[in-house]
Amino acid sequence: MDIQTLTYLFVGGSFALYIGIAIWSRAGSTKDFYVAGGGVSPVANGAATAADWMSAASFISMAGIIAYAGYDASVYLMGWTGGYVLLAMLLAPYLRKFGKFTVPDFIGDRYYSNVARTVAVICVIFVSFTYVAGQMRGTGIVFARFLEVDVNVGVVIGMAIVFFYAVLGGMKGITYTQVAQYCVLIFAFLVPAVFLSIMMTGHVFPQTGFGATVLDAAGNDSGVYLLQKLDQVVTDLGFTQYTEGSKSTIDVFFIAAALMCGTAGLPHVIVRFFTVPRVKDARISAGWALFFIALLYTSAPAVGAFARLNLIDTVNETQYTELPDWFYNWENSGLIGWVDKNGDGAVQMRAGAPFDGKPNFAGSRDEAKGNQGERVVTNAPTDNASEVYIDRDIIVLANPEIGNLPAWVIALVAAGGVAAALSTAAGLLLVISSAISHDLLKKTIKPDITEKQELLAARGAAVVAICIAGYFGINPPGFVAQVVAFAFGLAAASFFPVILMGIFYKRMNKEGAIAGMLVGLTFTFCYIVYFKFVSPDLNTAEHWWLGVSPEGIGTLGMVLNFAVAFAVSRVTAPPPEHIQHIVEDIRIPRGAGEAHAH
Amino acid sequence: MIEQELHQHPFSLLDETARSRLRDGVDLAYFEAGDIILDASSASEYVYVVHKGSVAELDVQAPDGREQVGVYAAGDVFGAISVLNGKSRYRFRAEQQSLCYLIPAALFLTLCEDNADFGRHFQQRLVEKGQRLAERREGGVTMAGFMLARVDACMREPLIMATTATLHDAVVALKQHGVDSVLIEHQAQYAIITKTDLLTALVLQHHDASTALSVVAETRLITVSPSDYLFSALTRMTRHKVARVVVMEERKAVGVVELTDVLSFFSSRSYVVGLEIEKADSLDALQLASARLPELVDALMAQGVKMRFAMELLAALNGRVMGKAWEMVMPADQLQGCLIVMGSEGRGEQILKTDQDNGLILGDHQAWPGLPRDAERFTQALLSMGYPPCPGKVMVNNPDWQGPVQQWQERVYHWAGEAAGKGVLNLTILADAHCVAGDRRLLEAVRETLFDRCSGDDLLMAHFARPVLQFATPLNLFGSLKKPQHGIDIKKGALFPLVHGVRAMALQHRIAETSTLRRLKKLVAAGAMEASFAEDLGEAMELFSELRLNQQLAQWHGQQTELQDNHIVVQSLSSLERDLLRDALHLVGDFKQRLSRRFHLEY
Repeated sequence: MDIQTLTYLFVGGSFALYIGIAIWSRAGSTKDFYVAGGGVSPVANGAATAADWMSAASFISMAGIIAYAGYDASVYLMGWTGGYVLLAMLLAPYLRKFGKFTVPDFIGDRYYSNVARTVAVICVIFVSFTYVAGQMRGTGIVFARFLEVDVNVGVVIGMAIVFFYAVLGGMKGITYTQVAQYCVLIFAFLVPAVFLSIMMTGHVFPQTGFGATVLDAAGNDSGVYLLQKLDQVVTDLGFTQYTEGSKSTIDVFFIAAALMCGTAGLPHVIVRFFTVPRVKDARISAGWALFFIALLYTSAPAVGAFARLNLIDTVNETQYTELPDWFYNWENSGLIGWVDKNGDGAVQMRAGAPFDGKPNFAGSRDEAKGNQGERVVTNAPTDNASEVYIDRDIIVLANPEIGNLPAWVIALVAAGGVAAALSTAAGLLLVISSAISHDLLKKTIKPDITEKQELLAARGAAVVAICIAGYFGINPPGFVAQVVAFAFGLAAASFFPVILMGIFYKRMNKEGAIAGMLVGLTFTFCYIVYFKFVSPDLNTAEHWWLGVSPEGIGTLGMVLNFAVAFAVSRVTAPPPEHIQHIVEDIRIPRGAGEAHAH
Repeated sequence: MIEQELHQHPFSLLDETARSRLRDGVDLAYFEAGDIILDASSASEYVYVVHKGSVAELDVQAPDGREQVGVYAAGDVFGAISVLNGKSRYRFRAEQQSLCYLIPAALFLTLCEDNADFGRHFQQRLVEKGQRLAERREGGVTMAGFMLARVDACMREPLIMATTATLHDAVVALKQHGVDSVLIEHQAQYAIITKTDLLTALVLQHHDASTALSVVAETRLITVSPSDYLFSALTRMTRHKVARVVVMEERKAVGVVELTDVLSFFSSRSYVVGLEIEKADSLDALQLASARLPELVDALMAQGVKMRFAMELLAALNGRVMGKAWEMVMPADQLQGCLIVMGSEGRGEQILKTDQDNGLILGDHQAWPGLPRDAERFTQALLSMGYPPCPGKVMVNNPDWQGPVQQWQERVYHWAGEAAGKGVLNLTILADAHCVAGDRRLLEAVRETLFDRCSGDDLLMAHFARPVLQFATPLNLFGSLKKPQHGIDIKKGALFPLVHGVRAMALQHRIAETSTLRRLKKLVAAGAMEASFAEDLGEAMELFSELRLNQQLAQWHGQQTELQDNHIVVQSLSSLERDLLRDALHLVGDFKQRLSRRFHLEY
């Protein structure tokens, strides 16, 4: 069977599996009336959480970023994993005792203020939007490749499927569908990783293969370590050394902290913690989730390194006409572009961009061929020697093909990409639609809205959200990474301190919280806008305040937020008695003895 | 084409030869909208089976706007009773373009003769129709109407005179107002003088006509409150051998109920069950009386009493049975505790006897050393009365379901803290608690704690509500009814999500009512649900209960034993019932969707 048929089979099969599980778990009538979530084991719940957590960004993009940015990209690994731990340990257990589902609900109630609630809702919507836009791009890439369509068409197909899945299918609430998605996703990621690790280093585990020596063509130990070889190869081509970071230590620290604190408030994952009824089970499943997430996160650096090495090996200095099929396929999807600057008919990979921005092709796929039969790129070429543009997001998907792995592995990876994008995008969509219809409309703007209108508003919000996300998927602003940084920075600077003090500092009142959020938000917003949009030419380390890049400034905003909130709360009236009582209550287990007080 | 109809009730009662005779004998006729198919007082030559369209049954003698008696839709049969009776009582008119099969009267009568079950079906319909007609003639007071009537529906304005009035004044006033008794008020105490009293005083005791009324008045009054059931007023009259009772509200006389007024409510003898329960003075007598409850249900259903009234009546009667058993079994000095019933009994939605789910809330300072033994006796007494034990041991004799208020409050916190399986189940059971005997304030205190702990906790409420999604609604992908051979489970697929969803919403909105229909009303009042949606849900609930009850009654009669409990075979319903059921299930689907949003179940 050829790759195409296998891909249809795997993606279709995985879909059939999810739908089958959904039907099976809903239709059973032999069950008892009240199982109330107690029937799901912590392991299964951990896997479901992991599926929610690991988005298309984790599955598709992270290894790609690592492959290109090397050491600098480790900040994403640390930030995101750290964010999970922070969320699981510091926030979720207390939020669940407060008895509120969403962060805006918590903030609105804890600070007895609709202003505070609204600020939080806006933050949540903004962060979720950025996140979901990333997912749509990922889904589009997967569909583009395996349906052999343009990436834009792929995004539209992805939009339709995610909408059906999240809003109409009602499959999100079923833990075992999520578990199945995790299994597909992790197999799809690990199988090629293990294959490549064995082929290149002889180690079964990519985690150890990453630090091992490379095998030569005959399969003998060459004595050169993988990273050594990679450093050698990339510096030969004029890139910076793979294992050398370009960011200052303080900047790395700030970026990681901003990502961590921003991620810790990610609403679609917080909710997962609440679906487990018992605190003890929630802790165990958080542990399992961390394990499941680590499986992917620890293999990602190895996958990135293997991919980079293989890619250079295969493509660099090869005649365009002799390249493997995958190169042409991805070029057809619009994610690879080549300009033969020196006219030798061979592809040169060198440091720097081959042309300005993402490639724009003249005409459709089958017309407008260049001398060698390549698609003609209309962007203005740069004057360096670099000739080829390869979208980072295709690295994981193309990896098995680049490494010449069996066809079924390639098909499996496609199914994994779809699973990753689906579970996270669906969760985020639900969060956005409920934040708009419930937190914003029902609780703040128009409390007398009927249930039916609320439902309509939720559907409408989901449609609008998916359209906007789809738009950004099709027209990724040249600065996706910037917008992501923007979103996480704002989240960290605005609601993270407020949540934290809401739980641990009972004297914190609404004046302090609102002042803190506004200061943190404004400061971060202005700093990022100044360096990213107003004067991008000044965006270098020597102009930054304290040497902190706009990506990491959220952390500073967060510190300011803490300080202002604390100061303002000291000079204004303490929160009402019952709020202080609740805050004390949050950290004490709810037990039998308490009934006396009521 | 008639094949479809032939496989439905009542034609399914025919054997194959009869069916083929029928197949050969029928005609198909077409009627325009407005055509009179069969007029009142005319002899019918056919029995009609509606194939398409709908036909209205009209009472030509009824006042305007009330003439419609019934509607017949596809699959329904009419004209049979006219054939059996000789002529039609009502007019049948096509409401829209309709196709009907015509079964010649002669053929129909032979079929009835040759097929006993088939004939009996129509005979029975004839009897039922007759009963319903009798009720209509009597101004719509059905038996259930009587059983449920409260005192205030039947009382007269009291005639109250000053203490200084004389016998003469009283006779004049009685004659003038056309009443039989007069009350006098003296220092917030009431006394009564009846016609008999007056006669006795004037004729037998030779009092002067100018004697003050206070001399001859009877000060020991038999009283009821306006909200008491009428049948309990009747019971009091019987017990005290008087012909009237005084209605008191907050120490003020607001009315008088006369025996003759009560008797005029009679239309059936089944009310006797209620009276027997009231009169029972021993466990044995109570047992005999309560054994007749299924009979009453059967009679109520046969008369077409509306489901919500039947449920309310049965709940009241079951409550009285338990309350009386409680008073008989428990020591007289320990009656200040609060006996609660839970589950379907608590909601007042239990029609035939179901498992006993009950508990006991004691006063905070109530010492009761003999409790374990007494509680055991009570449970046994209910067992002997045909209330099966609760498999989950939610019964008075279980120490986990008895105790003082404070212990109950601690339990609520404990269960809520568990937030899984058993804890949530117990909260669900307690949410339906209803006091049937003793001090209801104790239950209110516990309920208050339940609300305080649960209603604001979104996470707990999510776990509480989640079971509504446990079972699929029995509709297929295209929105029509699923039709498995073994039937659809009406409890899991329809009744449970509806009841549990309403319960969860009631808990969230601190609504103390326990019956689903009343909870719906309160939810509308609290602005948590649109009135029209609540009404539709109420109708759906009645439909499900009725379908389920019909099946249970059939089992009680010893039929259809191969079906599992709560299972309904869609194929055996009439097409009208099927349409109703489908619409109601769509409503349940809609409700489930709303619930999953409201309680964040979609994550």
